[in-house]
Amino acid sequence: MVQSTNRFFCAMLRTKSAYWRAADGMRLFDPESSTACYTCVLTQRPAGPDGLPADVHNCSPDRACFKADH
Amino acid sequence: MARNVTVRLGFEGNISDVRLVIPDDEPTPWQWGEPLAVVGREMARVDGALKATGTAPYTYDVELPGMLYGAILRSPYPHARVRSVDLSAARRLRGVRAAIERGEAVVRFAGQEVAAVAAVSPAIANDALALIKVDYEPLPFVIDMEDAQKPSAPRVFAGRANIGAPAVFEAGNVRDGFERAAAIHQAVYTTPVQTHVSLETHGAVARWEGDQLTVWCSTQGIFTVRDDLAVLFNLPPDKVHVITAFLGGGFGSKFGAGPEVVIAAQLARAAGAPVKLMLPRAAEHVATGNRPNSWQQVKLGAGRDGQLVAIELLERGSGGIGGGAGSAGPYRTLYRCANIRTEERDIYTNAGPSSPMRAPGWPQGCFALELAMDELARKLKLDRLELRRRNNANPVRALEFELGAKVFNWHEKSRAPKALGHRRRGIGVAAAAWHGLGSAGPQAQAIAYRDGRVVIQIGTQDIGTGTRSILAMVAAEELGVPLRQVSAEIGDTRYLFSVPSGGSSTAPSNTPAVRQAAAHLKDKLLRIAAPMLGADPASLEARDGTIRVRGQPSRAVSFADVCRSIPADSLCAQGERPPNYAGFRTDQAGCQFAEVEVDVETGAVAVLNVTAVHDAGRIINPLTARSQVNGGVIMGIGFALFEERRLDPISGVMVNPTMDDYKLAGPLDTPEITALFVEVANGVTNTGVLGLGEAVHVATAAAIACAVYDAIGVPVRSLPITPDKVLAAVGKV
Repeated sequence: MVQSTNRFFCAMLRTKSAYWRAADGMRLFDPESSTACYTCVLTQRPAGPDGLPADVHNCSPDRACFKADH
Repeated sequence: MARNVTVRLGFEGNISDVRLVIPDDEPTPWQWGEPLAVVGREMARVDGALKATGTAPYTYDVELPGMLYGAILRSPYPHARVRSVDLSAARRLRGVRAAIERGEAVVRFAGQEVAAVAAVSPAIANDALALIKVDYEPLPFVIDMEDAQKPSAPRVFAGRANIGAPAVFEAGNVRDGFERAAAIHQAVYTTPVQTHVSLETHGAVARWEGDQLTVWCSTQGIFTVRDDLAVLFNLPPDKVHVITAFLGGGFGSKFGAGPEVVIAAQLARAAGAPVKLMLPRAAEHVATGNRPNSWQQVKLGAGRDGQLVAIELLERGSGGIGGGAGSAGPYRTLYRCANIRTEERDIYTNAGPSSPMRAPGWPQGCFALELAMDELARKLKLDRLELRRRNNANPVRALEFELGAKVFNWHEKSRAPKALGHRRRGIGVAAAAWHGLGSAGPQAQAIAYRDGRVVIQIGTQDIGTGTRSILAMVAAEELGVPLRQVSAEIGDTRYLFSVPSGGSSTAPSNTPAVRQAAAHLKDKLLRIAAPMLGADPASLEARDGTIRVRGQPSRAVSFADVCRSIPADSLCAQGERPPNYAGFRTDQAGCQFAEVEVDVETGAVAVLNVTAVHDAGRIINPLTARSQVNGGVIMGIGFALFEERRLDPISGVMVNPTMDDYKLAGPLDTPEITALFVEVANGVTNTGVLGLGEAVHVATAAAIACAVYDAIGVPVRSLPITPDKVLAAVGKV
């Protein structure tokens, strides 16, 4: 698994690996995974409140629903 | 503080001394050949009687005073704009206490949640659903993966392509590899969408008391549900209490707070009363996740000696409105090859979303790769097992191939006649790999009471594999007491934190924390016993229900007497699970052999026997380990022969969302299953346990497909291998 900081990912984004944390306390995302299934915690579905796909590549700060994970 | 330890690690015929750096307060990892009294022995589940008698309290069984029953209205359309939702008639129905709408402007699959009600009975709740008026504007939809890739296809997400970006992996140069190949095999393999079918459906019981939310939930992650609900209801996590006493399966679909859990909490708050919302079976098939389908174009090249020189995969898969449909893991892992290229793409369709399912991506990839290996072996005129041996780089799997072939009688069965009248027999073998190492995070508490009882508390949950039993066994081992004196309490966020039960992580993540907690408790008990024995605590050991001077068994005091000297009601200690150590090996090898009988008149395939050989590190309880193998194999038979989500091309609705029409492997389909374990002392944690849940499922469908090919001489490259496909393969239809 590629352990990637979640600083750039939406705090509402969920995927199985992100329920685990790295040694620095950050949620574990693996943007290179081809088997990761994503959901938005606000909709509990793979789409955000804005109706666009919720995943590690699409949930970016330019979306109105993006919430920084600090 | 850390300390250095040298431990004997490895497996039969491959043992070496390995130096590890471990925390100062960490027990030394169990090593090769270490004599253990409780661990490694077959023990009936400590909660087996509760389950067998139906008294184990699952979420489904929770009943609270004044409890209401929730029900969800789902979209009948695979793609529609929701213009309005009128709840007024439902709210007026006698017995209805709350009605809410989901607020989604667009629904993207048939079965998506639109509204929900809570009523004094399930019947009234269902009647109320019929009174909800929804004004839908149906939109064009696409449910077929091939259609979805056409430029003219309706877009699942407005403004976004249905075809995802490629995930590409490259090592070496496949073009060069194929140019050097003496034999090349290329073909397309497909696998269907497999829906989740946990015996206990998804759901929860939610109760509000002021701003305190208590949720009994059918979940694989009590803390993840807690945290998700805390975010959604803007509560601090300690205001959300999640309980999962027993769980009727999850297989990857029950990690966070799903729609049904959130809706139960919303309805409970709106109604001012507890609400129980357990999904009906049809909703389980439609809306709780699935294993995506796959289209895999596989190309393999090998030299005359059978050495693979190139592996190439072009893959497409659809997880409906979700992603994660890749299946390249086995291609990059199972066999040694210098030139590998895999390209995977997700395709969006208007169908229920994907979710993790037991070894995500691997059963699909393993099926296609291993059947392609068999087809390559035929071109090379090589024995299929020999081809795998020549390309295997894992010494544990080499031993597993040898052991499995012997027990399965591979060579004898290879020479046996295949035709028995209209029946054909065949055998197959497939390799597996996984990585059930677990992770840091769990924290455990061990408590000794004055009456000699020991209780382990940890905030994990039992997904159905016997977690209470193995945790109690590890603590009993460390404390040197009989298992009957130890119990494990789990499934409650009031206990110390643990990780979700997924990724085959429960046993390898939790047992080290429990062992460390028990070791810390033992240290305290040794200090109580020391003056009783007139000895230094460092000279004492806990064994055989006593605390005694090491090397002088007669200088002993019973564990119970030591507990009676606890200067309070109880004595407690905590432990935590450190990060994994480098250990001996950090991979996990396996292989499975299958024998089938194919009726070439009816097309029916019967699996006669399966031999499963796996590395689970240190086996805590062989009985529950074998149960996991049985479960993984039976689920693999379903994937190989029966399971497939069918969507109506006209309406986009799933047409087989029942356990009658969506066939699972049942008792009559279950063969003789032989589970063999290659015990590997890996030193990755203080217990050396590896998770088994997924490793034992990866290879089953592949081995069966290979056996069918051996039986009829024609590969069936599409799962499930149904009678019509078999008859087509042998030219009968």
